[in-house]
Amino acid sequence: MWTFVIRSVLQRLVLLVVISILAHSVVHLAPGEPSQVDPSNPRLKPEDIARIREAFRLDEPIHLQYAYWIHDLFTGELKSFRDDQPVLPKIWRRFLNSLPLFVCATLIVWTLAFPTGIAAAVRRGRAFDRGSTFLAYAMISTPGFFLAYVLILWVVDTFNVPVIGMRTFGMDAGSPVNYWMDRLWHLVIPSAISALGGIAVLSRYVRSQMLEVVGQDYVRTARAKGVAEDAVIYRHALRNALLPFVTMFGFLIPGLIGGSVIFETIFAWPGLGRLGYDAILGRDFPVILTLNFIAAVLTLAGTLVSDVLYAVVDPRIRYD
Amino acid sequence: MGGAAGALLEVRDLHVSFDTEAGAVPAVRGVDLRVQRGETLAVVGESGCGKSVTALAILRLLDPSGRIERGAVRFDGQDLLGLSEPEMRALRGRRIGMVFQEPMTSLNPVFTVGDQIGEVLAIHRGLGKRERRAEAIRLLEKVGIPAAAERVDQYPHEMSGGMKQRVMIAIAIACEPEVLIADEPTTALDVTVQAQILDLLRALQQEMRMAIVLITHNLGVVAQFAQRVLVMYAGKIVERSDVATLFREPLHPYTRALLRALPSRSAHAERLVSIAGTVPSPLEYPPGCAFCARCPDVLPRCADDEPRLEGVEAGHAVACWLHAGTGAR
Repeated sequence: MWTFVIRSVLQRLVLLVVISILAHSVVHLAPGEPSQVDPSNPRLKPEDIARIREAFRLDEPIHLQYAYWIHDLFTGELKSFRDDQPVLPKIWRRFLNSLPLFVCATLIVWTLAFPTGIAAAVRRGRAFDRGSTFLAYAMISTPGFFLAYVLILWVVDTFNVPVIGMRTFGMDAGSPVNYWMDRLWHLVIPSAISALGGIAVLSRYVRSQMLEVVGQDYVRTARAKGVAEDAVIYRHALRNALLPFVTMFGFLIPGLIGGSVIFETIFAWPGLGRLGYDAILGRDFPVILTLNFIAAVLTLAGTLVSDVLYAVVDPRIRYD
Repeated sequence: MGGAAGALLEVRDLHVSFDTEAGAVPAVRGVDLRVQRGETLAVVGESGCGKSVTALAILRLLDPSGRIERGAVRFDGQDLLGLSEPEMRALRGRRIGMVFQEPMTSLNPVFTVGDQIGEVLAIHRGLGKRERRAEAIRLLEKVGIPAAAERVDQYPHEMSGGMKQRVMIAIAIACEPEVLIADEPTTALDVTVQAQILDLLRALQQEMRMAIVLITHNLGVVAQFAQRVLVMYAGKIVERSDVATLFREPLHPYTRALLRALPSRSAHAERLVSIAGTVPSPLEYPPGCAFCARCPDVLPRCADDEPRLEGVEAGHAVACWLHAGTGAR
């Protein structure tokens, strides 16, 4: 097992270098650069452009630029092109904003999708199954932003819950209890609405996985032993149906950095997704590349976690 | 036919059909069977004849699409079809055990064999954790698994097919059931392993005095193992007999054809005879005898007129116009 882990980590390190080189090349070879963000600005003279290119070392050969980026990244000297702020603290602050939204939405998705999918599978073809299938497909086929806006209109009219931003302005002045309650209150609608699509998709996976397992011979064996129906479903069937979701669990980790551009924009949420989006529009290479790098690290870590978890939950899988 | 009143397990006029897109497909069409305490009854027939469905219907373990249309299943005086689901669960695994055809897939891959045996012991015998483990080891030894104390912590994938079938048998006999239903218990196994499993079943039967309903398509297994035989074809019983009589004097043309298709030790170089034609689809069973299209001795009335299972001598009954009215009953 440990040799497997060490070998996997080494392989992934090599892969990470390749990914970073590719990402760096793609970003630099793509059309547009910081000096061209605002070409219609009459005050931007050719000598200014030259100065910008000089300052950002954009005239150097691309492999040197890569070396500068990696060097600055690991020494912590990397600064944003736009505001000259250090990149890592900038990302960290936004990460802390995105984290609660991500955690809440994910918790909602997983806690609702599993019971829904299992119940639909157990009641296959009956009213609950048909109803949840219809809702899930309606949810999957409606664009998230459209659904979000419609729900916002309804929610604001009906419940008077905040839908914009992370906190009420000026609330920091109140007691800590009020402050945190306010933060929590602002979290409700964005996480619930951004979870809808996830619930729809995941509950379908759970349902089909359950249906496959419920038809297996060992489930019939359990019934023939006199096991109660609940234990047949939740002990014998679910344990097996869960195995593929362990992989998905690992892939949640890169979701930490992805954020959601769409939902963060809709809810005016100052998170990572918007940071990345703005960085791309502003050709802020250091921020784009660093976000990409962190995403790659987390993805590779996620796949490793999946592999290891697989061996933990499925006795048939052994690495040695 | 005597002694029916004392039957431990009795199935009367069982009809089972499956809902499909093509409509309700009849799988079992009026099966009667009786099992006495301690005896072995074999149910023989080719795949799709309804023998496994009959077994599952007895325990009410049919898939959701399967439906018992009518009939009665009585076990030790109780009407199983009238029991509530919890009452039925209390019988399954405790008084009626079942072993399935596919040992490779019949055990849950994510639990150790000890846990899977222990589950029955917890449900029906209320044993605690440590007692369960000790009892599981004892049961594994009883079904002939060497190094049972180590095997008890293994997962099914660490065992061979024969070993897994032994574990299935250990689960089925853990509560010393009165009836063991064995649905093709050796079909998926190597020939040498088959013989070992049959020996094991026979030894356990003698020790525990349990009745066995052995479902098989293998007449060789029947000859070795059973006292009485039912031959099924297309969802019906076409012949019922004790084993010796069936092999000496098969009456139904289908039974005869089955016996001719059996390789015998004496006849070398003789080609085995296959049965011409195919089993009719359940959607197009003829109004008469379902075997009439393949029957070498078909009579004009066979296609339209259905023969009933009639006794021709004591303990021997056949559903065939060739023998109608020849017997006493």
